Amino acid sequence: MEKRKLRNNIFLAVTILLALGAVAMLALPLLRLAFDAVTALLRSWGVLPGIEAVIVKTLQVLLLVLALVLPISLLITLWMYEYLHGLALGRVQRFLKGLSRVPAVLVGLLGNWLISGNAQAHGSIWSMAALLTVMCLPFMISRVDAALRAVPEKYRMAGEALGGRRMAVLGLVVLPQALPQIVRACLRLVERILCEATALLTLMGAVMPDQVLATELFRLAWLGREDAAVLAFGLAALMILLRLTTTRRWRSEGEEANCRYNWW
Amino acid sequence: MKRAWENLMRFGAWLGGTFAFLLTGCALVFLLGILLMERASAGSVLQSVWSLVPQGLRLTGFTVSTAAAAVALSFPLAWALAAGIAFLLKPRWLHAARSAVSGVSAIPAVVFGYLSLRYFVPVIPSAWWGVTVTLILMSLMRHTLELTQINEQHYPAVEAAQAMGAYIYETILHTVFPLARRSYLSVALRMMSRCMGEGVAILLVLSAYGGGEDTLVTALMQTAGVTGVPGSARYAILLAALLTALIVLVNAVISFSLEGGRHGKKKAAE
Repeated sequence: MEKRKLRNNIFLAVTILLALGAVAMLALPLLRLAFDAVTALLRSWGVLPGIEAVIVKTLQVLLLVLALVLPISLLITLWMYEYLHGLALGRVQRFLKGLSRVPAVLVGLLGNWLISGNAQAHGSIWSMAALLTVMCLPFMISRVDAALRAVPEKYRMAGEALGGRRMAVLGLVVLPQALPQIVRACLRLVERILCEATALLTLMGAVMPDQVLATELFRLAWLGREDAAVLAFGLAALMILLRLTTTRRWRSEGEEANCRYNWW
Repeated sequence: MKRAWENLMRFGAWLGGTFAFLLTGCALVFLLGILLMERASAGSVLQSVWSLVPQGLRLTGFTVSTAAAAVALSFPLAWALAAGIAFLLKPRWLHAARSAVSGVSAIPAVVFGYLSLRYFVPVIPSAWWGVTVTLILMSLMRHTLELTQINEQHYPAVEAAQAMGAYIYETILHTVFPLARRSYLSVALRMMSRCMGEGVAILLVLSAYGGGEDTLVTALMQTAGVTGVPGSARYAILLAALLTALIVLVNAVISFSLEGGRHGKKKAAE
């Protein structure tokens, strides 16, 4: 009995020490970044000149990509839902999953090659949006498809029992049930678009000023500018806020109280 | 009403199918075009690419070794933090801890690169360790959330172990670990895949060293001219092929670890 207790205490001590190490590694750089950003702001309010143009361009690219990706992914998912079954469906799903894991740099390189003859296209909103659309489409299709297939089969069966055909049931019953998951997928898509710098930098071929937020941060850090801390902190805070305000609780309170094992 | 919906959705599905075939067709035509263009001078391309292979392999070695070291060092830390949140934290702190982990997992890679460049690189003498520490930071921030979610899926098993009078270490090592081992392995491999595919953060870190070290991704970015001088297209093709082969290999291992190969699929089908 004593041996078990000793092992338990050792295990707990090691786990807690490692967890504290992880917390320190996560928190310390972020706290230092916050401190540096506030210091830079207090020193001068005129940091990051011309950031408004960068924010506007980021929003333009974001809206354009959303306008392209959302309808196309929804339509392709409808086609998959209606016409693909069994082995073919599994293969297409696996292919899409594989495509969504393709490193951003390869997509960026592809874009760079495609527009290599046109110097103006390297920094244009349209080429950025097209590249991000190609990059995000497999991710979005697989997320929307997973959301539709996660709706319990009983809903579909009930709809069909009331005389609805497969696609009518999909539109009237399954799609509304899957809507929260689809909205979450859209928010993950927004995160991906705002954070993507690798593909865009490769597409541009050179670090150009006044592009989108992520590439601007890369440019400022590359130049060793002090105000990069303000932009880095702002971008990190924006993404954290976006995630926190849009993530639903993993479980409801009641469920949590029932299922959680309480060691204390 | 129902009929109108049926027709609308059918039209949407038809349109979606058209899009899917168009996109696939465009991709195939593009690949075919590249192959046909390169076919004319296949011999000389092969010869010039062959001479670049040793350099490509050196970059592959750097990429794989930094990614593997980062996963080996960050996984225990991330797992301990996830286990602490899922099994050890007091209930009143649970929501705050989950929110914090979820929040930090949304931080963009370019910010990791900046954090590393500013706070870690000045105290780390070698490029290899600089890259590894950046990847550790990135893996910790991104994958702790996934590990926490995996741990929480096994609450029922934990309750059962509690009912049998097990200690925490017995519950985690003998109940949770065997149930979640495939998921843990797939998270570790996804960490590895992400570490190998990371670009901007590593490029920022390597810019501080200037020792000629590169990963496959940063070398690819340099061939596109991100750091000023564009490289040759053939070198880029070689690097892209090596990176694709690595990522495909890791993805294959991920699917094998999740599904258990042919035997596992057969078992799941039964």
